[in-house]
Amino acid sequence: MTSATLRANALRFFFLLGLQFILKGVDYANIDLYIYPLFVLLLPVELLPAAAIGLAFVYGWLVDAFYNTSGLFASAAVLVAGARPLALALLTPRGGYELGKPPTKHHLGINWFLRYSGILMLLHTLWVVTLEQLQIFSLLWLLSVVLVFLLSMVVVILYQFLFNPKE
Amino acid sequence: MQRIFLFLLKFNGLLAFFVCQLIALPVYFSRNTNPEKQAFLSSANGLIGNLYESTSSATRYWNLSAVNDSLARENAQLRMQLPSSKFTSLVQTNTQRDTTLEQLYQYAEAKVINNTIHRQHNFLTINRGRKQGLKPNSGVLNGNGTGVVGIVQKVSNNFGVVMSILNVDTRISAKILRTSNFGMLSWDGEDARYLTLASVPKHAEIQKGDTIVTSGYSTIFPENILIGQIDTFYKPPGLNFYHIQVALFNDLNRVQYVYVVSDLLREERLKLEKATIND
Repeated sequence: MTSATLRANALRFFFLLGLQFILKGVDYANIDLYIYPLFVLLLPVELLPAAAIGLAFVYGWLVDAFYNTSGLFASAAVLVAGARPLALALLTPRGGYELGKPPTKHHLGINWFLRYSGILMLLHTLWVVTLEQLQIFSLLWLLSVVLVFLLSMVVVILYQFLFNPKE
Repeated sequence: MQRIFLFLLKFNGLLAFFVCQLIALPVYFSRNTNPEKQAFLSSANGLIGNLYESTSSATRYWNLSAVNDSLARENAQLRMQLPSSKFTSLVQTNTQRDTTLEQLYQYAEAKVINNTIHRQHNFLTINRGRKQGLKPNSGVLNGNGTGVVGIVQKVSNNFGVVMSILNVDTRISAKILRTSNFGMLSWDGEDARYLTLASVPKHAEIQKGDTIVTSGYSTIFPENILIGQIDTFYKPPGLNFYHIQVALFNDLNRVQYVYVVSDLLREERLKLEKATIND
């Protein structure tokens, strides 16, 4: 891991936390937008899974502290980090991943990134909404899943187009 | 030894995943049973509380005119209660200080520095804490004089987290003012304007528009604090109780100042009630 990668991820750590804090304030729409999982999504491909999960755990707790949800987002972020190697294996491009290049739109293209973030953000949404409402397949549940997923994807993709992260 | 190491390395992701979930999920599901332990990682925490307070002080100005209105309205109500605004028919009023009346409820004002209404478990953070005498299980009333806001749950040195009435775990003892039938108020997690009143027996003669107030049976809220009015009700078949939907008097989305009310004789009362149950 190069120092540039380290710096980019450290910056993203704080920047996305700040963005999530701002998004939390947008509660006129009565729906939550989640951008913080992007930190887990954009960690280097070759990072040891346990390290990614540990980072996600810490990151989730910080988000929990803002939302007063003690453990909900820690659990969801750990789920995303745990499922990430599976999603990466599922979507391996021809010739495999290039060493030192993180899974971003810049390196792997928008189609690839849409599928990658779509799988993991959907998983995140299902986990968070179900744990929060403690019910499944009801109308409210379905509505929340659809809206939260679509709006979160919009901000995640928007972030890619605005900043187009290379590291 | 090497084998164990290789095994751990091979399944490092799986192991880390289960370890983290086994910490996070039990904490999440026990969040209401031992709130004291969790204050360190919530907005009752000093750092995050301060962050919320500074953002709140920046956004407060947007709502200033609405706050002004509600303060003016309350001022007017208070003025009406002044002795000078009342017609006295007595020639000489009793000016002796009454020593038979003891202070039962203590009120303190606080500012809301964080609030949500659209989650299933909503909380507010207020800028009063242990140092200012805030205790868990105090009632929180709306600063504009009508409506309840929630119950203080966690307390740190300078901040308190309030479990909103818009939290599916909150239960408030309430009664219908006209008929005095009491029941349990709770939220179903859907519409922030309505609460559900349960356990009112079917023989009660209730009407649409009846006022719902606090019952005073718990040690959290004083009696007769306005909550809302009956919006719709029906008798569910096979049950002995009404299903009553209560429209709230206050808009939880706009609450900025609150009164925290604490029962000074709470300990004595709880001790007596507990001793009776143990007998």
